[in-house]
Amino acid sequence: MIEATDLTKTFGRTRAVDEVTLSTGPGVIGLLGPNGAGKTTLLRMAATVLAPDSGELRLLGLDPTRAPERVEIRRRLGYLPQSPGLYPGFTPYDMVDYVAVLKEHTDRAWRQQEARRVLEAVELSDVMHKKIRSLSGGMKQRVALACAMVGDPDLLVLDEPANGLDPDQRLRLRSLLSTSATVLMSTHNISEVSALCQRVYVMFDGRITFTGSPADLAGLAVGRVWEDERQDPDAIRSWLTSTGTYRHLGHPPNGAQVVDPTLDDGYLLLARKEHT
Amino acid sequence: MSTHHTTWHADDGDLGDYLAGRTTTVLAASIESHLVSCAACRARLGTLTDVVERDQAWDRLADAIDRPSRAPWIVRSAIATPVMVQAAVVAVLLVGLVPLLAATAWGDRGLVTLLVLAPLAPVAAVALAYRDTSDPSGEMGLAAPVAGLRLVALRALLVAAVALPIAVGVLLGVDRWIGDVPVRLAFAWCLPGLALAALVLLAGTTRLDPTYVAVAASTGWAFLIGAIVVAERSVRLDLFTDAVAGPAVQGVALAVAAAAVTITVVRRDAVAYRRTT
Repeated sequence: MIEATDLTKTFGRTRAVDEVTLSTGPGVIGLLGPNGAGKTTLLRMAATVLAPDSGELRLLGLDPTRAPERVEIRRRLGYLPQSPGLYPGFTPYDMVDYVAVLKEHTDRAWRQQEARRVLEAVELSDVMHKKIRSLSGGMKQRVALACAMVGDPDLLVLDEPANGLDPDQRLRLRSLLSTSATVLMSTHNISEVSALCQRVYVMFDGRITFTGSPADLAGLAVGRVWEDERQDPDAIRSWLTSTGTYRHLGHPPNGAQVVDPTLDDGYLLLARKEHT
Repeated sequence: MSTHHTTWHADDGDLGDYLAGRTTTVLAASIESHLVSCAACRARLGTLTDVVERDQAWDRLADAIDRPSRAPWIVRSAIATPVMVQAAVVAVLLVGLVPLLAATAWGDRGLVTLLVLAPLAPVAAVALAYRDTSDPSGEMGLAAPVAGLRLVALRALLVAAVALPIAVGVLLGVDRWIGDVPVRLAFAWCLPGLALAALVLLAGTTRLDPTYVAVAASTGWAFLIGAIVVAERSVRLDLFTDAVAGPAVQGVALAVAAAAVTITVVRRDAVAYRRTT
């Protein structure tokens, strides 16, 4: 579905994406990393919005640098940008209908059914005729998500889809995405990755530093996490947990109570390695 | 609804006819006023309603309400996008209101103002319409199949379609009002305006900021006007009209416009409807 080889994008002196190689099949693929890691730039290239400076990219088996193939990709693509500005004077229904037209759906009856379907899917049927300016942030995010889902695309590129959603809506998002063909999504939220993604890529400074399943990411910290009642100055990181004990990451001292690692532990260990 | 006690009840036959719309107007009015005050008949009416038919009626109503607008999507997006509206308003003001006021206040000199400002109207409109921040949903649009030349051309035509008739209309109106305005003045600015706007469009949809290109194009136009003033040592309207409507300016403008549009079309595969950075 997405094949990237040595993909590079530079802005001025900054290499936002630096020789990224990845290959994904169907399913939900998570892109994890701190702010400025290059996630959004990579997603914008996967959404055909940005052209790479070098490297090869194939989306749905097609080459986005060739105009006819790019148009074909866009017909089969749904994209939720990081800041999905919406027309405040439109209703959610109008907005979805507008995006459907941009996607070349000219049949009004089809657009009507599709607008209802996607707005129902994001639970906005009740407010579909209200002006977008009157909706909450979470509702606006769901309108944008509905727009991305128009036409049941083969490839969904979602930049921080859970932004502004409450826990209930996040659960709903999970079930929505689980039925989609291929989803490439970025997130800051590690719990989203563990709940949603079959595969995860971790990015630091424009480069992919980890590829594997969420379990593999957690596995990086096997034998490197221990808990204690006191802070450990020799640990790479220590933090107080909700149970009142300290959790440590690093090389456990003799006799330490080693515990099973979580996805957060694996990610934090990876982040530490990247910055030392 | 009231639940007042009533002494009579509508029979099933009348209620059935009422539901089917087979009663006379008088009987229908009588049944309706009775239903308002009789909970028992309202309940019985509910049992007589064909649920399937009722649901279908609701669906038909919802279909009628939800039907997508027939208005062309490009018009809808332009109306919804404040900067597109802003662009059209600026264009209209530059080619309409400002020259009109200037002509009223200063006569011929005001009409010279028109010649100076009118070609800049489409430049301003295009520059405003293609700023990175112009379209709140622009990022989503960039990933749509229609992104590219089709959207660029449609939006440019839309702004032109708003500004051009108003401009020509204002000029012809001024002609009637003030008199002695050469009709060709009304059209002399069109080609220079098209050329400047096409340049901004071509540059603005690539890597250059359309605002800078617009400023450069406007400066070039100002130099041309200045050159005419210096050459003629006057700001007389007829001299300006002769110069701007003359074959030299019109020919160059036509060539520049044709070249810019041709290059845009040739490199249409690389054209995004706005810059991506």
